Amino acid sequence: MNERNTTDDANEAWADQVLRQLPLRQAPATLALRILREIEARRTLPWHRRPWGSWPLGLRVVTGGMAVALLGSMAWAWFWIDWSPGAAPAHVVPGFLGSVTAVAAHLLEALWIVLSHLGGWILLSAATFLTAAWIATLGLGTTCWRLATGYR
Amino acid sequence: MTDPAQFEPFLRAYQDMVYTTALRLLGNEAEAEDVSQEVFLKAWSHFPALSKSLSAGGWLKTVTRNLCLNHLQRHRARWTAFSDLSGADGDPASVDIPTAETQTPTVMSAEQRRLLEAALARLPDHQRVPLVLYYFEDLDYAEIAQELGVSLSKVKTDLFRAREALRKKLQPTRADLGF
Repeated sequence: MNERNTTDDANEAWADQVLRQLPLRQAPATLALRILREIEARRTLPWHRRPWGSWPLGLRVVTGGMAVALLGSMAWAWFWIDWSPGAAPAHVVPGFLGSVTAVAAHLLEALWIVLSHLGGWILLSAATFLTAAWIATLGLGTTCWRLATGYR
Repeated sequence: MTDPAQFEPFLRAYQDMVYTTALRLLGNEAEAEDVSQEVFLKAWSHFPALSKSLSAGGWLKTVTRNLCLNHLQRHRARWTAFSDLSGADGDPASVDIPTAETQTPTVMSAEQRRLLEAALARLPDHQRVPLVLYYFEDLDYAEIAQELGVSLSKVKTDLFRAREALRKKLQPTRADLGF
């Protein structure tokens, strides 16, 4: 233990002296050019291929408003519409939205009837199969992409 | 969106620092270039704020460090698994204890620097990373443990082994070059 401590003290003093005085390495001359080229390529991308945060202000306002309206409608529908089988949302919600919710409610009702007549094991097997298929597809896709691009 | 002509002086002023940090942490020139590019693309998207900030250098260093550590964790085997193998890095008793005569001179020659950088790059990730964080990024043991998500004692062990391994790698040339 003593010898280890002595060795480490000596190594520490040595490393402290040697490593701390190492100067910065010079970046390759191609690095700046490569970065500037990439920046230029990103600058010339059309707005719809850029991140949402860098879209023109008007588009951000419109799309942001649409997203808020959509989420708000969904939240409203979730809390205020009676989705249970047999309910008639068309009587609750007037106009076009009422028709849409009526159709959705009837579809849900049909789905509910089908699911309730299937056994638990069938549903579980189907869910397991779908999960396994999804994982296999993902794994296969990743492998192909890595093979194609030589990405580690 | 920032004009690249405005960004270029900023890029040229900091490229050596970013590249050196990435190279020392990753030990690979191609990967260091990739990470440096990623860092500067992030800097470009934050440039309006960054260009007025006095701590731009610190911001770049932190982003570089985080991206390098993410890169190492994502694309390479984690060092935690390997550094726990005792004896994998050689027998500590065989390490030569330096004498006053063998200490490094105050100013290092270009050849010494090249050899040292090469030896550093050849260290395994689990030794090089804590060493770089300690000596070049000025993090203390607790901060390194936090960054790497390992225990304090493991950081100490890894640093101990890293110093030994580095000296061993330089041993054949030390007498000639004054290491």
